[in-house]
Amino acid sequence: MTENGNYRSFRDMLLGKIKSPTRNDIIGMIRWASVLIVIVIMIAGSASGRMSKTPVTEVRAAVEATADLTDMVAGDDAALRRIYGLDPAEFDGYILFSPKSNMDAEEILIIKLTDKSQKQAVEDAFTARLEAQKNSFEGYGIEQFDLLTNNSVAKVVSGYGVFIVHGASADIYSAVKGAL
Amino acid sequence: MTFNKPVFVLILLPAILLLYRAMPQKGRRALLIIYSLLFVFLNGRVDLLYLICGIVFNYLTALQVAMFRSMGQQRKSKIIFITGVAADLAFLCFFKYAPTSLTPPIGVSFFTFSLISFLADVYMNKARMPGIADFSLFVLYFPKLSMGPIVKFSDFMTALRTSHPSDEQAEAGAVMFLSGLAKKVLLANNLQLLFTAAQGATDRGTLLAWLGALAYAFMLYFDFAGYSEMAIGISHMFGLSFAPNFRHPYVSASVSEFWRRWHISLGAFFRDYVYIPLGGNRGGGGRTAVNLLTVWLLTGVWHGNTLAFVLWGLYHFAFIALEKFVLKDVLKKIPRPVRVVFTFFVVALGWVFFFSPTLADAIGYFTSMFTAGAGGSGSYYLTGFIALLLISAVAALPAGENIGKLISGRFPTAWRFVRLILWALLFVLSVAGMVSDTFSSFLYAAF
Repeated sequence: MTENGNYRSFRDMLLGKIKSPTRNDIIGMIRWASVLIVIVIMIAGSASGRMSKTPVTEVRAAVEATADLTDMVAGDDAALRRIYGLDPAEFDGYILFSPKSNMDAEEILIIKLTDKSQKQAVEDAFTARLEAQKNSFEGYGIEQFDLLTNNSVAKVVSGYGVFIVHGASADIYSAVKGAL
Repeated sequence: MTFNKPVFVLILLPAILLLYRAMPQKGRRALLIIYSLLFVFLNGRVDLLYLICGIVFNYLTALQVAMFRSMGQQRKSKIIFITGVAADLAFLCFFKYAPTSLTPPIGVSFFTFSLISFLADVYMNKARMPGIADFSLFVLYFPKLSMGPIVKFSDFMTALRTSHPSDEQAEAGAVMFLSGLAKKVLLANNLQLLFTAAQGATDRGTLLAWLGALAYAFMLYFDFAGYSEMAIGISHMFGLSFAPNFRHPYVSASVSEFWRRWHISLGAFFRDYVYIPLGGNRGGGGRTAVNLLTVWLLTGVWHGNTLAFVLWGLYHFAFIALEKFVLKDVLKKIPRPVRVVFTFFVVALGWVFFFSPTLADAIGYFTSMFTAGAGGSGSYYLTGFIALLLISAVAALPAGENIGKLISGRFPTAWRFVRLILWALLFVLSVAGMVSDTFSSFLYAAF
């Protein structure tokens, strides 16, 4: 910007030559091309059918790099069946962390779907678990109930079921999304 | 990345401030742009793409608007302007209202309004075309990106032009930031425990329902005003001065006054770009009422797509219309303290629409407030949270600032020392609150 408040360079260059119809058309094309790019990104992103090819190990590394998991224990196939009613054999892998104590509400399940048709079943399992935990803690565990109500993520994204109840759920979810 | 995280407060913010102060004046804008890009990138790579496309689209739209206007082709200028605003609104509406699994980009409601205000200012010849770098900084500027304030383009450029960071301004900014941080971490986060208990309780007696409503009123204020103070405080530390977004709204003596003190930048946006272009109060009582109704419907819809938000907007419209057209003379005769208390309860009841996920939930909550009767665990929560509620009430008043001014006038040296200790204490407590395991995002980030 110059001392008298006028602008030079890009804008002045464009303003100086813009009166040519061709130049104006080019600006109009760039304008709408940027809109087109946004639409393409939206379509690509909302293709709920998109199945991420990222292996579970990479997602696990992203979670471990983001969250403090010292108060949690890794869960196994039996825990996955017992807590969520999901059959591990039907999925491409999962990461499960449960709290060390029943007095804590923090838990993380990230499960890789093999097929788009599993989406509804996984979402239902998440909803049921969240409701069950809320019922368990309501009335005596204010912090746990708050965590379940305000710091939980339960959704299917890019072929992964993501269920997070954690103080840093937003960060963990961002890390998972970034890895996908 | 939010401002109430230890990594931001203890590492990222000091780092950028040191770099900024060490940088020669001409490199500072570039530094802010790069840092803001990084800030967005850390939030999500796709968000960055959306924002870059938004910058390109709106800059070129404004360029064409200005160009056609300068050539005397008003109609073409108008068409380009309308298509630009329509595209911005379509983008916003898609993320706010369409049933999509896509995560909205960071601050979509806020930066879209900033872009629209820019286009409108250029179209109405209130702003000159900036350079692309300055415009990019206006859109990306990280303190205001995610939750505002919605700074008008001309105000942003004025702040940028007159930016000369001084130690005094940096100190004022640091105090403002700390004040906002304490409001969020020490007050809002703890009030949330009470509110969550009230909202989630199945056996919610009248007392708990009122405690929850009270907790939400204070929580929302400290959460959003806290964020705004942090954003404006950071800007002060960069030498950029912006007007406050909140001015003790709970001491308002009318709902109209409340909206001149609460989320001031959103109110200014609707006033400048909707109410006044519609004719404001120049077309007689009927026309003014219609214009006000439009503004309040839009305000409600801006916050969310449920019927509860629409009703919340209409609720405020009803009180503002009553004050403006019916009770104007009556209200003047009522003592101000009475009107302040009345306004607070009107606003607090309005928040029930605001926090309820559906209209049925809102009705259920109102039922608890007015008909549930004794029972539930209200007295237990009252005992546990009464101190916090009283501290919140005092912190929401301007009394603290006024007492500070009074003492600083009489004992300037002693006050400076006491103030330093108080702020240091608040900082330590806030950091302790942040590093504890309860991370909490800001409420208005959802809008």
